[in-house]
Amino acid sequence: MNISIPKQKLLKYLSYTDTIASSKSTVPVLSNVLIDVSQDAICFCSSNLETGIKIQDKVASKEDGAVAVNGRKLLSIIRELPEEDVVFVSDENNRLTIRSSSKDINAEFTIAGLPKDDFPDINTQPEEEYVVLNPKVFKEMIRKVIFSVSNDENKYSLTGVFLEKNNGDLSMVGTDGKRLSLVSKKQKELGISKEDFFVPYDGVIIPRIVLIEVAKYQFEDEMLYMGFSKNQIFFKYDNINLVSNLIEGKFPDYKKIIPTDRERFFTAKRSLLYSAIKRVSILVEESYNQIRLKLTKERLSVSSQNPALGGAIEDIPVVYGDEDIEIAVNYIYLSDCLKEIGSDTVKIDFEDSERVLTVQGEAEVGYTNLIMPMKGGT
Amino acid sequence: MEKRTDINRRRTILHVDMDAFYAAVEQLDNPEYRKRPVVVGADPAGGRGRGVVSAASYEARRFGIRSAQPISRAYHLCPGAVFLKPRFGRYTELSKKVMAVLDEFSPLVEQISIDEAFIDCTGTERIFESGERIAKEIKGRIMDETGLTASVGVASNKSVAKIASELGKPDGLTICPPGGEREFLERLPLRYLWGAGKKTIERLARMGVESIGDVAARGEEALEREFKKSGRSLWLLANGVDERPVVCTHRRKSISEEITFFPDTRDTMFIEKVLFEISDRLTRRMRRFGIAGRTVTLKIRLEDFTTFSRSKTLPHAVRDMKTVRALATELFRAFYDGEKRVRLVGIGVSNLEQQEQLELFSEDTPRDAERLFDAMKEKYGDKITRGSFL
Repeated sequence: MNISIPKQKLLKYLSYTDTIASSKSTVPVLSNVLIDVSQDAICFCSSNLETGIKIQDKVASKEDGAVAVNGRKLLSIIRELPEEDVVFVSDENNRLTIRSSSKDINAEFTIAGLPKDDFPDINTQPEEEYVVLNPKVFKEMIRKVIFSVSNDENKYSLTGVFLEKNNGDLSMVGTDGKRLSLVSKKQKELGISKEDFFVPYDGVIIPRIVLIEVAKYQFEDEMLYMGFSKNQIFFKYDNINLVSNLIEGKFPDYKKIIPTDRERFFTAKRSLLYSAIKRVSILVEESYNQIRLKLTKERLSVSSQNPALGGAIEDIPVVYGDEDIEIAVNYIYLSDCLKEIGSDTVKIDFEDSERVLTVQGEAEVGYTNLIMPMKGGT
Repeated sequence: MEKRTDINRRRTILHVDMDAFYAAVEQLDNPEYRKRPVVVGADPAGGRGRGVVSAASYEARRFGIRSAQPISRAYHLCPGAVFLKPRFGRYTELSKKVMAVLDEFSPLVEQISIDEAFIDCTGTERIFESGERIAKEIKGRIMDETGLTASVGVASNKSVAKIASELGKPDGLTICPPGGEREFLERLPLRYLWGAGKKTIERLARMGVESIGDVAARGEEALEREFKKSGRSLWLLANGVDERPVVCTHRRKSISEEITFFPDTRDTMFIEKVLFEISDRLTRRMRRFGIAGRTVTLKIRLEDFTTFSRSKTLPHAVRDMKTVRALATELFRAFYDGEKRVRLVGIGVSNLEQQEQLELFSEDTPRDAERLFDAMKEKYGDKITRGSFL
């Protein structure tokens, strides 16, 4: 291969592909990014066997060729080069030589790569037709639930977002077993025109990384395509194709734990509560992240305690007229969802200090967060 | 921390103590052991056993068997008794039921061990009429819930209530009327004085003091001369005065497990393997109680009965097996020189914190590996073991 390609484009394509490349794979070629040039087209691919990405673009090719190289190193090199186009030349021994087309420097890098042959093919064609989504609304949905998704591989079915179709709505649910975020949008709001838009089994679990990637894309174009095969999900945006296996497993019956008949609640100004938590949490004990919420008439006192450091307390006005109560929670759970609530006033309802809290924006429909409190504490 | 209670405020304190709890549970679960002497504790190993008696049924007590006695002694006193290994899981289960019953009667319940608790019923008498009525109700509810008997003492303070429950055992209900504390205690032998240790009692006996009434009669000053600061509290207790409040949330200060070797050993590989087992059991209990601690202490007793402890404090509380085991092993290696044989090792965790994140899906979510493992052990017992990487 012998090509010349703008630096900024390269940076973007390489960073998207490198995140998907698996660092821990037993198949060495999979930790690499495949760069494939043929007939004036360039293609960047990576895969971790669960999720794959393919980005295509046009390029003026003096010579075709393909090589799989370490994406992270390549990125580091390109970041250090001047803004001018970058020149890639590969040889028959799978070595990639990198140069800048700038006259100012004459640095040359050579990376030993692997042949294209072992690289898995990335299928970009779903069995079911692609539907068009409004990317802004879809990204907003991801942002509103992604922080609740579990990182714990032992809870495999919780390591993804549950995407569910009910009636005319599309919902996303993320949970780590201790908190849960649920967002629902009307099919219409998402710009899904199709009447009987298809989601396998009416609900699927999408790996976290796939949605994190989709949320990263800067959508200038108003078209995001989503499609399904039986056990795969496909996204297409501009020249990027993302495909992933769905997580097989049973998502917990989350509807069952959403309280419906709550009588005790308080409302607070979202920004006031959020910044009070942010300040008070500076002194939490890090292994627990516990803050205490003490409610008295029309007042909420947020406090933290750290046996080694000290503690903090801040009072804010709230609307509350019920009995005094104290509830301990992980402050991260609260601040994460307060950040995403799109309403000036938040409503938090509860039953006692050991049952689930529901956090909602007072004027926001279709977004609910559930948080389990902590027991005991100082 | 300790708040002095308003002395003019008359309190109603109950002390509830389960009768020969572990042994009674065994007799409850195994009808064939009823009416027979039952000893729960270490393996008597035909009279050569090395542990102690954890509990003895009233039938066994007739042979002179007492809890905390060496198991070998118990065996010699009554070789025909039913000797059983404790089943803490089951005792805890029933203990929880008992405590749940107590919670129905007052918000102020202070559990002091698996089988006893104080309840402050001040103010609830109006609802339940009198201390006596509450005590009867409680005994009945405990019998309904568990099939076990409890002895209850009713008094105006903790110390007297505790003594009262002791007096009526088993299945007793003893009431000390308010104002009658001093008379109530007067003739009782010193060993009933709760809060007075073995050494204090020995010293008092040497002073010619035989009954609690004698202590009271000595006067505050004489006792202060003899016992310094603790003299005054001794005098107050003997007069039936005890202002200690019932502290609602019982907070334990430490949790520990230990094992006595048989025979004594200097095999460090073996000892470290035992430390591993102890860490596992201990941290499992900690997770069950929802507690974590910052200080890990290694206890070690050598063949000549000299006992040492070494500890290390961490910046944060822990309750995972790996950390506790690593610290205990590190402390052991730093301490032990292999010269004398080791009789006993134990691990304790203190500086405890009770903080637990509650779960949304309590039954059907897969827990993390440690929790899953705990559940397996609960179900299958100690037959399940972790792989040891020694």
